[in-house]
Amino acid sequence: MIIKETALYKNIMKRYFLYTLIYMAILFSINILLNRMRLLENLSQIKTTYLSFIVVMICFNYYLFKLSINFGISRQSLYKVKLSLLCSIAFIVNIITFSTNLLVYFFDKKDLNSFYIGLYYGFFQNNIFDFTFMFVFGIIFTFFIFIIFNTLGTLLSLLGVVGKIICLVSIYAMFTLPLMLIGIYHDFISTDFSVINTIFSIVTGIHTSNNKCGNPINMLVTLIIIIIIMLFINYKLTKRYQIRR
Amino acid sequence: MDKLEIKNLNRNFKFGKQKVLKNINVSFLSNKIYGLFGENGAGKSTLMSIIADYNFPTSGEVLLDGENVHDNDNALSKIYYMNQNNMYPKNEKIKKIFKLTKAIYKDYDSQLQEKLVNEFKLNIKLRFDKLSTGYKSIVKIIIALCVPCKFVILDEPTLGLDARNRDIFYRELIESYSANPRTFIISTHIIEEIDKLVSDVVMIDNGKIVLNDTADNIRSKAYSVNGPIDLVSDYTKDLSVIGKEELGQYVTIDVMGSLPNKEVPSGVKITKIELQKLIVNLMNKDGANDN
Amino acid sequence: MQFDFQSPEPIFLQVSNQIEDAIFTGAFKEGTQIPSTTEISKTFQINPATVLKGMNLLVNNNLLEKQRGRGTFVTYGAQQRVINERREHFYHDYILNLINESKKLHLSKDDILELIKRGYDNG
Repeated sequence: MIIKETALYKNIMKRYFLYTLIYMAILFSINILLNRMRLLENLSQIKTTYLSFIVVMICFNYYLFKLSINFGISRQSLYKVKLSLLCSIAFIVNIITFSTNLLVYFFDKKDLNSFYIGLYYGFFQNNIFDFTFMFVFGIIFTFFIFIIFNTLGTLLSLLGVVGKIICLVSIYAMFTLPLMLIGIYHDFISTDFSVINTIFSIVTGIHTSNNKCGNPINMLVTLIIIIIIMLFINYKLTKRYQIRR
Repeated sequence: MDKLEIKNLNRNFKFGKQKVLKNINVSFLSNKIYGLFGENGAGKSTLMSIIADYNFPTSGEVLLDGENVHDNDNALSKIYYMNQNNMYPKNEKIKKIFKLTKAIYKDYDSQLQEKLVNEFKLNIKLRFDKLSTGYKSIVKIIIALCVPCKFVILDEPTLGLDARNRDIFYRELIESYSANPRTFIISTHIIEEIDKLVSDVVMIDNGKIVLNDTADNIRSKAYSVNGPIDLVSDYTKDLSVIGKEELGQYVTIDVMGSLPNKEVPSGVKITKIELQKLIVNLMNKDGANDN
Repeated sequence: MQFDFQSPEPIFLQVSNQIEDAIFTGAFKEGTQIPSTTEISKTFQINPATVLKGMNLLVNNNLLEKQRGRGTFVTYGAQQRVINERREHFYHDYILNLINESKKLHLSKDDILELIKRGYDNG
């Protein structure tokens, strides 16, 4: 039922995304006029707020489900709508941040606080290739962030209060545990990190041993693999949605 | 012809300890008005939400024209469930909800919607969650009557409605049903309002279907036998008793089924029972009487 | 039209009886249109199919006719047909019952005729 899906998609895009954009644009103009902040600082600040807002918004899955099931849209179609939304928003957001970065670069000639430039730029030794690849990488990375947060949001929506707490605690543990283990490894087993270093290089393409430019393709592949896993998990979770009474 | 079949449906909670729906088998045919009755907690809402794929059954299936309804866009587009949950985003304006619904359903009846908005005196500029219970029902009713779905399920459509609006609702329901025949499944506690309107009756008690027949059949098979206690008891001794009321030497026993071939003793009077009284009797009975 | 929904009679039968009554009394004149099924069902909140069933009974008895695109009309001669039928039933419904009841009260045929004469003289 393409009509239904398109209608829902358009409605959500218009309602949340478009209005957020307009809101942000207004905020931006007001800031410049009232505070006379420097263009670039302003842009960076707006960009961060905007991104965080988008990420939060992406987590609101239950209401989207309620809306869709009320209109007779199956969970499978809901998943397709969700993905379309995430893709479109990732693309547009990326264009905005990309342009922001460009503007900052051209106006200020400062070093951008873009980690990509620091780590991977120059790999292809060709400005056009590097630039294009940076843009593509940006989109995929943005989508990566979105799909992770949306999947997390979907999972949390399905759980009760207890489940939510357990989930969040586990995620926190998942982040701190590896660091702890590495610390233990370092202190008690060996200071030889060569194995870890090798794994790190393969996954991210960054060479810690020398100052050569990192290989962004590795990182891209890693991101894509994780995205595919997340897409699968998200699908399975979306299929499990039910109305709570 | 479209047919909505529920086969061997079970729904358990708390790891099987609480059985809300027990082996439900019922079919809903096209272009009829069904009354779905039952006490609070009997399982009506659970059944309806499973039919509309809002919730999943523990076992069993819901078929529309032979196709399983679960996660099936084609089947789900033919079913609309007007329910008591908050399905719309907070602070949403009614106008926007209507507009979105219209965009979703290609053949949405905008003309009827406009007519109903005027009849119910609904102000579409208001926000949905700021409405009274009655007006929230009105918005939901309007949408339910305008969607081009072959099976429309109404859960307590008249909740919070004053007498005037209830009257408007039933009139418009009949008008819309006549102009555009489809199946309505109405679940309500106010039985007397729809007992002449429904063509078929389905009743759930304690998770099981205890009554599933056309209204005409039920009315023709339900009798009230009144007279002296001994005569009436003897006359009704082999019949399915659904209610009993004693007044001194006299008793009124309500029964279901064909009357026995024996002669009616003098002093004993047999009349038909009204549908509403019949259903109330069935609800008051302890334990299901399989018929 | 009046309906008594407490009555044990099936609703469709009540519908057809009420319409027949209206034809009998001339409230629905021959050749004129009667309210549609939708109108009747809306007014009394009865299932349209039930109303239709009741009407169809009368269509089968040639008291009503459906004209495509225009509605349902009372047939010419319907009133007389109703009168004739009711006269037929009069004997069965009233006379036989009268005789039955009179036997229980031990009234003779002459007693009955006396009572009938009294009734006519007074009313």
